[in-house]
Amino acid sequence: MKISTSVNNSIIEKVGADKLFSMMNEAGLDAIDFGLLEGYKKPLEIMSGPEEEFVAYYTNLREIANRNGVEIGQTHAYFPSEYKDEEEFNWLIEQFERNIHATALLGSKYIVIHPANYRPDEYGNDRINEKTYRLFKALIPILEKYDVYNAVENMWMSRDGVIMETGISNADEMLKCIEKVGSDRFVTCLDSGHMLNVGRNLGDEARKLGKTLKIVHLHDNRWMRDSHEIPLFGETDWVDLMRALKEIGYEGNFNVEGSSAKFYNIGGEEMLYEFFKLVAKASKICISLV
Amino acid sequence: MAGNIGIATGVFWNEYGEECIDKLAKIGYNALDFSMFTDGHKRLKIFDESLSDEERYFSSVKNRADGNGVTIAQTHLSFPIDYDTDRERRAIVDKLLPELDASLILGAPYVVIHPSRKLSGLGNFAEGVENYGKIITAVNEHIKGTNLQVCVENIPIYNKYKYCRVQGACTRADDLIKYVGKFGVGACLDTGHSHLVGENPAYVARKLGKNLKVMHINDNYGIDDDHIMPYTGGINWSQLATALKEIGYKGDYCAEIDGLLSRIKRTDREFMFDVASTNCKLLKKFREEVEG
Repeated sequence: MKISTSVNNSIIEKVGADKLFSMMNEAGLDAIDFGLLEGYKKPLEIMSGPEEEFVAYYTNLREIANRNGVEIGQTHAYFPSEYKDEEEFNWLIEQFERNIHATALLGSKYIVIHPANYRPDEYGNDRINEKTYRLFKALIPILEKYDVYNAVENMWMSRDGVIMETGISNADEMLKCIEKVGSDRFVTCLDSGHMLNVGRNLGDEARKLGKTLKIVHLHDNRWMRDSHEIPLFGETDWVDLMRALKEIGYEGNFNVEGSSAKFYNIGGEEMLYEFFKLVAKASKICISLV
Repeated sequence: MAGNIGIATGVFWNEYGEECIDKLAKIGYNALDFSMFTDGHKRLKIFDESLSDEERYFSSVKNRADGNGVTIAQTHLSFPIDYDTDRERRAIVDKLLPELDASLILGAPYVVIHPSRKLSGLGNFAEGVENYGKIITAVNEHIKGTNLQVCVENIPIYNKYKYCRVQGACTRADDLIKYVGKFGVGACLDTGHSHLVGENPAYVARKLGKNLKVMHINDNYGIDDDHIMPYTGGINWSQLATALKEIGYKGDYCAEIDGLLSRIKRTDREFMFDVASTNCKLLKKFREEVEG
């Protein structure tokens, strides 16, 4: 199983792709979960720039990754995915088309586009999910065009700081989403920390996802906050989760969706490298559990 | 002279005993906060043995530390120290006195004592101070004439709903100041505990000024007492560094990240040292912010 972690464009701009990918390789990482955004509600400028420039940029990044011995195993699209009118819906589709195209240029088959995420007490789960299904159905031709799969991720929502389930927060809803969208371009991405936050048993949820589970966002949490800690730092039962992944024949990467940006902000490249080393070591420990 | 970089022994001691001193020295620590308990807050078993066994045990620890160039910067007495009756109070004091003797053998300049965490019996703050004061007085009396100084720590108290913090015997900066004034003790700032009760540790440090002798450096997200590495939670460490610089803090930099280490240990005990190594770098960064 390859070991991977998430980084996004903002880190690349600060450190430089060559140096960043080389650091990751040296720390013991094999793959990257590439964030195609600046941050929450912050799209990358290049996603709305000239196509020629966009293609050259991501083609070059793929070459740099290859040169440094790391693969782009999966990507993460812009978020949030909520929309209130047609104008916002169309903007999202345009943004996601570029994100999906970038995924293909980076040599990856999988992208995570978040489901729409609203407060369930205000909207009702059915209405929330209809918004997601509509958005995802509109993406089918784009995913087919670029030969990319969208992995449906389990989410959470909070009200006054209390975390709760929302539209798609568990395996049943993830599988229902795939069925409703009705395309083989949709698979699943288990987010371990989110599942822990909403009080689900991670092993059981992974077993339900079975062969639909192609990629993962693995991270640890304590109960009350989605803090995206390094595996083993929180309350997750890693033995059971790893056992479940083995049982279902999971063939994807051990991808840690941690806090590379946090560590970079703490102490620049030195602390970023510390983070990569901890992620690589923790991942190896988890993989060796079963 | 730069402050030492240390870490609490609690969880390490449970797993490795004296050997942890070698391992921690190797990854860059030159100080220890020696806990008189292991993780799970269980008092060290050596205190069930004879006085001469205790002396031998702690002399050996001291030699091991010296051999590694590691100083025992502070010790931590066992807890809880809650009581309802005089008899219970005497029993608590009887437990603490050998731990003070151990601190003397280890050559620690400071010993940290928790306040009571009791809710009942703390019907009002004055009663809490009065009850806690009786323990501090007995402790102070025992070490009179030595170079060991008692430091009182700030502790958050929860009501039955856990995430609601209430006033305890020593929760906030003003409480610490009261004990310093009334009992002539020093103060131990637990950075995470301050953050949990909504007080910026920088504010607490400024309030304490020269009375701030030692720290339990740890972080959290303001929700639970996570005891995670500095800079990785919600505390503003730059503000605390500025405050420590202002008050001329001359003490050491000891982390207390037992919460995080305990969670890691459940799966892989050796990984604790990888995390401790990163923590060591973070402490050095913090020291640089204060002293640099």
